[in-house]
Formats: sequence, structure tokens, C-alpha cells
Amino acid sequence: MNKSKLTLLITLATPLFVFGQTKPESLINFYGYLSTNYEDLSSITRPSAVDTIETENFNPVSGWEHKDFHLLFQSIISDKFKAFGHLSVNDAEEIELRNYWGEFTASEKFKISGGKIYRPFGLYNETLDASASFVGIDAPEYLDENHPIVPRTTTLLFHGGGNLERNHFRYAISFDSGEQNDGTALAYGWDVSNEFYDIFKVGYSFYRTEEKRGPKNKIGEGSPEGGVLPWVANEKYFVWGGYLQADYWNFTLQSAWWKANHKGQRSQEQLQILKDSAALNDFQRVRFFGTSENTFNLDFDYAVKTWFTKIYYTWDSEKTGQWIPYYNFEFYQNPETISEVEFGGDDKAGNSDGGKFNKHTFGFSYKPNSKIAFKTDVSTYRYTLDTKKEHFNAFRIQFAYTF
Amino acid sequence: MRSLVLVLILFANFAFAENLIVVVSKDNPYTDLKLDEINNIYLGKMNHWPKGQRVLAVDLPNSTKAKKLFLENVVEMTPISFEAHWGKIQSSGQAFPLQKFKTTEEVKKYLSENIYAIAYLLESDLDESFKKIKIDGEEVITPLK
Repeated sequence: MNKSKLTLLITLATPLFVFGQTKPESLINFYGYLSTNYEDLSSITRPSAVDTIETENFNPVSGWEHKDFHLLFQSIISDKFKAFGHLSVNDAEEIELRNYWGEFTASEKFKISGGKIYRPFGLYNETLDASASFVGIDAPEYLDENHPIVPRTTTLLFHGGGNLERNHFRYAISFDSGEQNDGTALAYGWDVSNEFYDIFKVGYSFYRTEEKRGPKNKIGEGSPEGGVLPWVANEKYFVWGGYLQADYWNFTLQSAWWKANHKGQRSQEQLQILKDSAALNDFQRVRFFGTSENTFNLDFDYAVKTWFTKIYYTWDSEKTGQWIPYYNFEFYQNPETISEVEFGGDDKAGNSDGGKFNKHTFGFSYKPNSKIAFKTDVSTYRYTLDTKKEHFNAFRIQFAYTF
Repeated sequence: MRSLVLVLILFANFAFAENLIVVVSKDNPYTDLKLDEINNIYLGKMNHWPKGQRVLAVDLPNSTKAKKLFLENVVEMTPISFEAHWGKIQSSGQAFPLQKFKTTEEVKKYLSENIYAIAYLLESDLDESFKKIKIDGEEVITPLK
């Protein structure tokens, strides 16, 4: 880490060590967490980039992959205004301002936020990167950093909520320019949810681009920020789905279902790059190029579908802390994607015929106290490649310290 | 003998049962809240008073009797679940973090300086420097657990 980054971090973190977790006399609060992840993946069978071999066994790199430092602050400027910021440093020693926004509160029922805001969308999008306390280590597939089905942040948010006894209603309407290359189009979305008597939470989320648009990143420029793949010339898409959570006794059940409809045209120039350089399976070759030598299928109309169900049990022990064993089943299908992340693909769905896989995860979270979290899980991914059933496994460990 | 035991149990309950109170600054204009509203304030679901002033919710350490009774009888959570809940909502900016103090003296000082702060204390901590809020029309919260 270079000197200037270190100085900035120390400057920002100083209030934590001077005042402890909270400085009550001030209306600025600093907090955050440190986390580190270990991941070990078994050999993966995937499409090969070499024409003469259709599949290959790939051994991904394992080890301590992520060492993140997160610093967050909230400031009450007045009864009507507050500000929020979230800074992170990853293992590449890059400082990123993940989130920053100001909020005007007209009332509990109506607030306006502007900046870079995690979009209210389902159960996880707002807290996934900001908290070390959620159950599970892997992000849900629809929010995976390589292939999210929706742009995770928005610019302008109208939101609020209300309470009726122990029922809590929340809504949010978002506006932004979405993921696109010229920044002129409008995208909007909403999320509504209701909690009933501290037992049930149900919600519905939606996102839509108003105009046809192209990807922000072309092939080789990184992963898509939302649902628009790099070889697309322009498209119109919308995402919608619902979610629920039920808490009863010490059990929690979560489930969500999402669908993203995409309709538009591919770029012939970008398809040529895929044809020349990318690892494609037979399904993908036929999808992009048909069965003859020099054709390009430019029109597309497809849907990404995904759902998951997670169940966990929370056991609080006065002597040892909190133990949460969990099980998660997830299904994901994106017929348009390819396997290579370098080309903007998805290294799970892109391996398979039809872009389809499912995932079983068993794990547990342990917190000896509210500051320290330890999580571990094992996942099995199952898919079909060239009509053969394949699978690979992943083992993960995470430590986090919250301050 | 059975009568003696019953008398002793009754005496023990009277002697050791402590009630909770919810308190604010003397200058705070509000006098009544519902128990559900207190619950919502301490779960980050109600961040403003009815007329729009921001609520500054005060919290005590888990080791205090007031906190233990409050968690068991108002928010109905264990200390670690309560902390995890706050970790989640404050990290996403949905609620301003609780104002944490170690002693009731610090709480009293904070209440005297912040009109729209709110705190829970044991009834025995009540003095003339702050005022009690009625909860569902009652002066105190009588612990059931």
C-alpha cells in the first residue's frame, strides 16, 4: 500500500480509535469492518478455446482471495438532512468510494436521496457489500460481480415507509441512466416491501430501461455492470421479481425469484471477436452463428431466470455466542452468456448447455460476539456440458471483524 | 411450610422486580408513545418523531440490567441478534446508529443536551433531570420475563 493511501486510511480511521465505536456527543458516526475470504475450487469442466478440443478441465486458483477494509460513516446534518459514505480498500490496494449519498427527509413517508446508492432490490442488494453480518459468503448469483442481472446502484431515490403497530411498509422508486455507453437514456425501478408482525416480509422489485441501449463495457473492458452483455449492439430490457422472508421461532426462510427479459441486436464486430478468440460450447456457437460458416445471428430475445431458497437456524448461546447453520438452493439460467469472464461472460452459467446450473450450499456462521464473524460453506454446482452432466465444488471461509 | 414458601416468593418478586421507564429531555414536547413505536425506534424502523424531528435513540451496554430487560421485554431479541440487526441496517444507511453510552450518568447528560434523544432506564434511575414517557398509557414497562 503506498504512502498516500495509508495516510488517507489512517486519517479516516483516527476517530475510531480516539472515540471508540461511537462518539455520542457528535452526530457523525464512523464504523466498518475488516474481512478476509479463502476460496478453494475443484477442477471445472468447461468449453475450450482450442477449436479441436470441445471441453477442458480447468483448475482455478485457490487461496485467500479477498482482504477488504471497509469504512463507513453517517452524519446527521440537521433533522432534514443526512449524509452517508462507504469507502473500501481491496487486496489490490485500490481505494474505492463504493457509496455516497445525501438524503433529504420530508417525513418518514417521503425521503429523497441522491448520489451513488445501492438500489433497494430484493433482500440483499443494499447490505451485501456493506455488512459482514449476513448469512452466507457467496453473493446470490443474480448479484454476482461478474454477472449481476440489474445495475446494483442508482442515482436518485424517492423512498419512505410507514409503521402500523408491528407492520412496516417500505417503498423506493429509483431513477438513473443505468448501464449504457452514452449516459443519456432513462432507467427506473422500484421496490416495495411489507413486514407483518415481525414474522413475514414480502416484496416486489422492478427495473426497466426506457430506451434501447448498448453495454457500458465492450469485450475486454470488464464485466457487465448490469444485464447488458458486451457483444450487444443495443437492447431493451426489464427485470422483475419477488421475494419473501419468514421468521418463526429461530428459523428463517428466505426465497426470491427473478426474471430479466432482454430483446435487441448483437454487434457483428463483437461477435467476430467471440468467434475468433472465445471459448464457446456447441450451444453457444449455434446460438451466435447458426450452423453455416459465415452467418451471424444478430437478433435476440431471451430471459435470464433465477431463484433461490435459503433456510437457516439461529441459535444464541450466552456462553459461546451465536451459531447459524444454513442451507441454500439456487437455480440460475442465462442462455446468452459464455464461460470466459475476460470476455464479459459468466464462469458458471457460461460453462453449460443453455446457460443453466444449480447450486447447493451448506454452511454455518459463528459469532462469538457481535464484533467477530466466522463463516464457512461448501457449494456444489451442477450443470450439463455437451449433454454430459458435470459438477464442481467450492469451499469457502470468511473472517470478519466489525468496529 | 407451603404458605411460608409462597410468601417468600411473593416477597422476592416485590423486592427484586425492577420496572423499565422510557425517558426524554424535559424540553421534549412528546409525552406518550406506543410500545410498538418504541420497538420500531429501537429496530431502526422509525427514525423521526411524529412532527419530523430526528430520533436519537440511546443504548446502554449489554451488561446492564436495563438493557437486558429492554431486549427481553420490548424488542424481544438476544443481545447478539440485536447487534447483528443494527450492523445490517446501519451499514446500508437505513437508520442512524444508536447512541451508545456506558453509564446512566452519561445518558442523563446526553438527554439534557439533546431534546429529541430517547432512552430506556430502570425506574430506580429516575430523577428530576429528565421526564418519563408514557407507554401505551402506562408510566412504566413491567417486565414479564
